[in-house]
Parts: sequence; structure tokens; C-alpha cells
Amino acid sequence: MTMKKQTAGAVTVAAGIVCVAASVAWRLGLMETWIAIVLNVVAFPFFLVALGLWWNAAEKEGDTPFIGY
Amino acid sequence: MIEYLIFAVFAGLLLHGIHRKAIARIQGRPGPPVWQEILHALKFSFKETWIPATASETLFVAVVLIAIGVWSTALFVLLTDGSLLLLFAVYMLHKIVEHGLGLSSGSPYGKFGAIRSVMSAASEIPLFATIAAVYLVTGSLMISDIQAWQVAHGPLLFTALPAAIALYIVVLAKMHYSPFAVIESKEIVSGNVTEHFGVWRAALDAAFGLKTFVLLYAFILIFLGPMPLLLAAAVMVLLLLSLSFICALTPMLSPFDTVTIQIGVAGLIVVYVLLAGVIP
Repeated sequence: MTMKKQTAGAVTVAAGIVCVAASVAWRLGLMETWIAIVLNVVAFPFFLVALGLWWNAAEKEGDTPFIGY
Repeated sequence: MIEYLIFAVFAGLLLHGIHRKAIARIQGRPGPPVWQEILHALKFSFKETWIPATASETLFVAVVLIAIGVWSTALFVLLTDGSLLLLFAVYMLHKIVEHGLGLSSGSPYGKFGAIRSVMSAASEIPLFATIAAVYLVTGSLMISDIQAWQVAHGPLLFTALPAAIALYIVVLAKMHYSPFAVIESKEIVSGNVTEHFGVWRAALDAAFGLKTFVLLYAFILIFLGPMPLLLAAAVMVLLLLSLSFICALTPMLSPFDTVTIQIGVAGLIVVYVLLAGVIP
């Protein structure tokens, strides 16, 4: 199973926005602490893994493997 | 809030680097630079990544996400002075991560690691004993109450030394290269994480960095009391160095010996709890 670069990028951005928005809203007193924590706990793992998959994913097809003489 | 998570991940990886460096110096080797584990995680994140054909795809990926989520939760429990019970419920969930990592991979080495993880569940028994002892002395399991008690009466380390020793052994059991780290012992390659490579391993490194940070910080909060951040960081490093000494000088125990020692420690704490809290 491979994730396309575009999909991984979208998940990274979405999860990153959730983390940052929840953190900022909590700092400004617009969000309860426990809600901000839950959002961060849920989104942070997706952010971290998708970030790795995003910068890891190839943008073009791989080389044709060597199939023998 | 996200800044706490990112800080704790990097601080935890740095602590892993210091741990490796200290072990190497004790063993007379130069060792890697202290930031090596940060570079290591970054390196893994750039490696080619896929899921092995023998693996259970959903569990293989989900367990990595759960590992990060579990230790992120634990960090916030500490930062919000939450309940000790909640913190150690999280610790229990880490067992599921350990089992899941090995069993999802389909690799015999991973499965050996997972089976050893089941056996090393004995390492949780000193944890229960610690919680009981802390409750008997302070009358509460809220970290905020435990800290308030220590402000009034001094560090719990001196009042409930056996409980502190038990938690110290629990922390030791979860350190890399620990005599109790049978689930990642070299004779089974990398144990339960053998098949998690590339981005999966990088994410696991981040989760385990968080774990080390949380466990060391929890020990400080529970047994030494509240202290300024810089002092807490210095104490964490000192605590880590003491663990590094044990890891450097003690060979890997057999799975059966790890269980025997940990149950033995738990037994001693039960005697202590009976003497200190129940019999009087």
C-alpha cells in the first residue's frame, strides 16, 4: 500500500491545521483545555506520519525493475 | 499546545542520544553524538516505506498512530496535573502497542518480541504497587495533590523510598538497552519493531522519545515534587545518566529472569505497603 504524495500532503496540512488551530484557540481562551487536548492527541499522530509519507513519496513512477537476462 | 508535543518529542530523542552516549563512554567507546537519535529519526523518515506483504495492513499502521497518541495523552495528563491512574492507564495501552507492533508484522522476529512483551507484563506489577504506596502516603492519586503534599512534607522519595525504587525499575524496564528490554533483544533482530522501517520507524522513534520524556518527568513530579523547568531538565538528565549506568554495566537478562526480578520487586513493595499503610 502506498499513499500518493498529494493525499499525504493533504492529510499533513489538515492535521497540522487542526493542531495549530486548537492550540491557538486554547491560548486565546476560546476552547476548553480538554477539547484542545483531544484534538491535538487525535491529529498529531496523523500529522507526524503523513508528514513523513509526504516528503518520502515519489512524484514520478519508479524505474522498471530488472527482470533478468 | 502542539508546541509542548514537538518540544517533548525532540527533548525525548535528545535524552535517547544522551543515553546512548553515556552507555558508550561507560563502556570505553566514543559513541555517537548526543543528537544522533534526532538525526536517526529524520533519516528513517526519508527511507523508502511500504507495508510488508505478510503484515496486517490496518493494524501495522494503526499501532504506530496509537503509539504517538498514547504518549501524547500521557504528556498532557502530566502537564495538566491529572490523575496518576489515568497516566498509568496510558502505560497499560502501551502494552497493546508493543503486542500490536510485533503481531501485525507477520514476521517471526516481531512475533517473538510480541510474545516477550506479554511475558514482560510483569513489569506493570511494580507499577500497581507504586500507585498503592503513593495513595497510602499522600491520600490522593491526583498529581496536583501529590505535589501539594510534597510542598508541605518534602519529597516523596524520602517518605516512600521503596515505591520510588519500584517506579525507577519500571522506567528502567522501558529504556533502550535496559537489562529488562527483552522485547527488542538482539537475538530476535529488533524484536517487535523489526518490520517497522522507514516512516513507520521514524514515527515510532518519535513516540518512544515522548515516552522517555514522560516517564522521567513523571518520576520527578511524583517523587521529587514541583520544580522550575531548567532544574527539572537537569534532574531528568541526572536520572537518565543513572539509568544509563545500569544499562551499560548490566547484561540483557533472560525473559524469565526479568519476570522473576520484577515480581520480586512488586512483592517487596506489597510488604512495604502492608507494613506502612495497612498493619498500623
